[in-house]
Amino acid sequence: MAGIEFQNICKSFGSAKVMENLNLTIEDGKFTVLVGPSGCGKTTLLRIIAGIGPASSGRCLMDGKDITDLEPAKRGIAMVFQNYALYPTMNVRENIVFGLKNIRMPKEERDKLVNEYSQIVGLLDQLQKSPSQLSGGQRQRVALARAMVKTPKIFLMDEPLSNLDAKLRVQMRGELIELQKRLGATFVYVTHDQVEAMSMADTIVLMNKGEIQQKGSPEEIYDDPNNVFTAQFIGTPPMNLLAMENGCRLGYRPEVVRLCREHAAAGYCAAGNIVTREMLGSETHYKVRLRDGDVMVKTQDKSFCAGEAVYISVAAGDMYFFGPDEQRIREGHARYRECLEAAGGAL
Amino acid sequence: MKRMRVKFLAVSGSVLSVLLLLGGALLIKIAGISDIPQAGFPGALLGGRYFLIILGVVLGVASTCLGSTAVEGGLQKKRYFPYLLIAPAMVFLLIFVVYPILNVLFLSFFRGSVQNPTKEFVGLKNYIALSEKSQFIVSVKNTFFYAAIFVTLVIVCSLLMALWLFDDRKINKFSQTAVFTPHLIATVSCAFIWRWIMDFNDYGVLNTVLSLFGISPVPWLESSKTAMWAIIVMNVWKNIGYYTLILIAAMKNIPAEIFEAAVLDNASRTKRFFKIILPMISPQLFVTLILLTIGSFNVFDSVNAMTAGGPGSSTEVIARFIYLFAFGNVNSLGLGCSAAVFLMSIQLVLTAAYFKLLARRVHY
Ligand SMILES: Nc1ncnc2c1ncn2[C@@H]1O[C@H](COP(=O)(O)OP(=O)(O)OP(=O)(O)O)[C@@H](O)[C@H]1O
Ligand SMILES: [Mg+2]
Repeated sequence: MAGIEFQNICKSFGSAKVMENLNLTIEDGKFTVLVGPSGCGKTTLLRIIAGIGPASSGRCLMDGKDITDLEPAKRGIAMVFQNYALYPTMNVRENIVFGLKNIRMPKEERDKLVNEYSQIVGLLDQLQKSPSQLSGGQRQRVALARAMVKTPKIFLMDEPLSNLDAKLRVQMRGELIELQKRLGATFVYVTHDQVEAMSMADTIVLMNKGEIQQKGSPEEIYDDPNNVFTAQFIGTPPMNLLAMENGCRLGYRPEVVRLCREHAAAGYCAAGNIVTREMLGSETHYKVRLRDGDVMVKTQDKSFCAGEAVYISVAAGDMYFFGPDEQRIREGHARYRECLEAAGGAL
Repeated sequence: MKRMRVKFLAVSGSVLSVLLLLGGALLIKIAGISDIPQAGFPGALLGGRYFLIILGVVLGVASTCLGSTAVEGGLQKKRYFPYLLIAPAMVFLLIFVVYPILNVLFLSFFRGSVQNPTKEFVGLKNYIALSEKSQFIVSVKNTFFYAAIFVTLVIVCSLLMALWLFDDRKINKFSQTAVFTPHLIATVSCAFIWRWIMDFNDYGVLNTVLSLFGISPVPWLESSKTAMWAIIVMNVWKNIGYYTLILIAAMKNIPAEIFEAAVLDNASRTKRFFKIILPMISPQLFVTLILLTIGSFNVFDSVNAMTAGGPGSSTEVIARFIYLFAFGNVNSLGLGCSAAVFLMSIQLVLTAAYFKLLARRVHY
């Protein structure tokens, strides 16, 4: 089993610096999900772990041992590439079995594993096809099976489910979580999909522009964001943010807002007009135009209609404050009281 | 309305081009117009049939281009239209490829000379004479030997060279250019360079270097044991650069992730070469093999310039046999033609065999 530790990792491509002094620990045997906008360096990080795109400087440790210069093959890693990287001249079976043949696994054992894992990814009847004869989603599943069959210490997966339909994706998520529990291996999983991140992760690592914004359990990331970026990246619709007079920003999640027709008795309350209404079945999203800006409201109450004048109120405990440097102002911070008062949330 | 005019122009251009090409090629036969251009500027062009042929080619290309714009414009509905557009190219092919082949085949049944090619019909006698001629049999053997060694060496060496020069480094860019340079030099010049290098009597570079190591000079080109090898070495040296470049281009087409995936799959270097690189460059390798094989059976200029078939007949090859008998000896044009037919059949059979045996293993 293996935990991974990055120490002062820098990475540049030519003159372009994409990562500077990155420090991160990925726990042994955990399901860690890397999320962040496109181009933030997720793939770059995976490639550093795998050893196929080494860092420009800094150290990479595995189980406390320095692996910065270790050959990729010796790291005990399987990787699902973002663009699959299947071997085009081999059929599905050969693709899956290639890594096992190279470690000279006996044929019966190999065949058993191939059958088992191609069953899991639902490709048992496609083993003789070549990658060019498969659909995008099928190719992705071959890539997945090719990595799974090696049962390594560390799994690196670069958006392994991005091309699957919703039903299959849910099913494969389940399979991956189960596999992780069964093998107790370290999973590093990259995704764009925050639902996927929230539902699968033991730990979420949120990145932006080559920097780590926050690392924590899904609950921490959601309930206790460190900064504006985290607050807005996680959650759909994202957290509402409104500028305040003192230069700080007030934030609250769309689902904690109470929508009513009368002014609330106390605490934060603002008047506005409903601009749009989206009925999604179990819940309804309203966009409310306040004096300070637009906010989204997520509620089960579908009785309001577009154009209606309403009041919104938020409990003090549900409010977040961010300083001019976009960092969170937590309870106990020097400016917390001031912000609470500016928001009108103080009793 | 404008489109109709484009189409009309294309069709009439291509018809005219066909007529010009046919006319140019057949004029000498039908009207006995001189093949040799008249003196003076206009006569030199107009007198010969070359002018007609050149005009035909230009018109053909122009009308095909014109026609294709009409096709893109969605104008074409009639079935004959595409055929009309490719007609000039087909006629060109007929005149310059199909006709000469048939003509050689035809002449191989006659005894005659360049002046009078069809003096006497002899049926298959030329072929029978060929099979009994020891000079021809030696030539065939030598050609096969040359082809086998040459093709193998070029493919193996350019593969190794391509692997070696594959990485993007400045020095590799320079080396690629360096190994490619011989390809730009005329074979005859190369042959002379290598004659100097391998010179025996006045101590060529090679023998001088060898003598530094205390090895006595070797008569590379003057000994029947080494002469063919010397020619092979020269031709390999000349051809490696070109095929190295082709193979490097093919390898650069392989996405880097595939190698990385293979590295993570614990594939050794040899495994990566045989299981990934080789299958993925197989289309280019296949073409290379065919081009090299066909080319190697045509080997002529290097042999003629370096050894002229000698010493004895140790470097005689089929193409030189054809040359000697078709144009050299008296009344043996037919013999030369039959050797040419034989050569062509070997190339055809080999190419067909490659397709039959190897095409299955080529991954497109
Ligand atoms: N080979 C390369 N040469 C130059 N720049 C590169 C190279 N690979 C990546 N980059 C740059 O590094 C940054 C991070 O790229 P990376 O592939 O890690 O992003 P990512 O987080 O995986 O994005 P995505 O979610 O779109 O896959 C990007 O700005 C990209 O332009
Ligand atoms: Mg990526």
